[in-house]
Amino acid sequence: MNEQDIFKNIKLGVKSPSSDFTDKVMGEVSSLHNEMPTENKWKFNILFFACCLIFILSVFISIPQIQVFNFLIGFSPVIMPIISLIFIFVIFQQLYEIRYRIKYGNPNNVVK
Amino acid sequence: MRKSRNSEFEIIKKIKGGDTSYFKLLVDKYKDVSFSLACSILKNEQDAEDALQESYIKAFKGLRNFDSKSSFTTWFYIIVVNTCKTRYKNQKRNNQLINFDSYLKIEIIENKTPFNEMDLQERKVLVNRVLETLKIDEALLLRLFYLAELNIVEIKKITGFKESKIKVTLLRARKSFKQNLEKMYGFEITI
Repeated sequence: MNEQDIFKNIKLGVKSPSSDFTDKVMGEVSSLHNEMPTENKWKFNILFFACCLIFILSVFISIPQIQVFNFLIGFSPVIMPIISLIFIFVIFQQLYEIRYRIKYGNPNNVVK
Repeated sequence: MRKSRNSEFEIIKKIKGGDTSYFKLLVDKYKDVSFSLACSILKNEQDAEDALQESYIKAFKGLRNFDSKSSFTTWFYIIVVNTCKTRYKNQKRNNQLINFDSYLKIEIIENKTPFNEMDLQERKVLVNRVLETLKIDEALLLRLFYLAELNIVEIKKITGFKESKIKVTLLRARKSFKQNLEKMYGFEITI
């Protein structure tokens, strides 16, 4: 028995899983695929709630007056909500990027 | 080969884009060879099927991080082999492992038909029974080399073995396969 015969016999001995194997895997895959957006939506809702809370708090909290030498520096009550909005904007931008990467993979991996 | 690899990348791109139905093509393409590899390690078809299912789920989850420049075949077989090895270790730790002595016994088959004239199904059963008698590493390497048609470098990536170990084990595996096949068949095989 030479190498070619071993090759033929081992090729012949290939085993197959049960007939419904592909369906089982695809069932798992599709349920996994459907789970992912739900999970992200839940996280998104929590984050959205946290951002709203930050914005509401920023309306009531104002930056205290600061005394620099003989000058008393005061801040407009609008400053804090503006800062919080910028902060929220940056967070949402980052989140959008992460979501894009999760959905479409690393842009460097795109097939050329 | 290159065309098939390109079409595979196209399939992966579509799956990454959200069309999961394309994953079925990958499942159908690799299920038989990877199931055989899983059987080499776990020596039990039910466990092998469960491990293979787990491997496909891992591959699906990890597909977004898969680097398209590397080979999907090698990447997927690494997942299969690692999943099976982990399962094997867990079973060993929990003493759930079946006593493989029954597999190691070589039963002589009463068959007077010349080997090359045997029915294909009978030959398939005989070959698989012989592969079950081999050590895990031997059966795994034989299947990776002859069934999956991988080269030594790819096998090295999948198993983590040194090149010299792969060559020596393959040599020993070929010898054991031939000897055990002849023992089980009852007399010398000439093809």
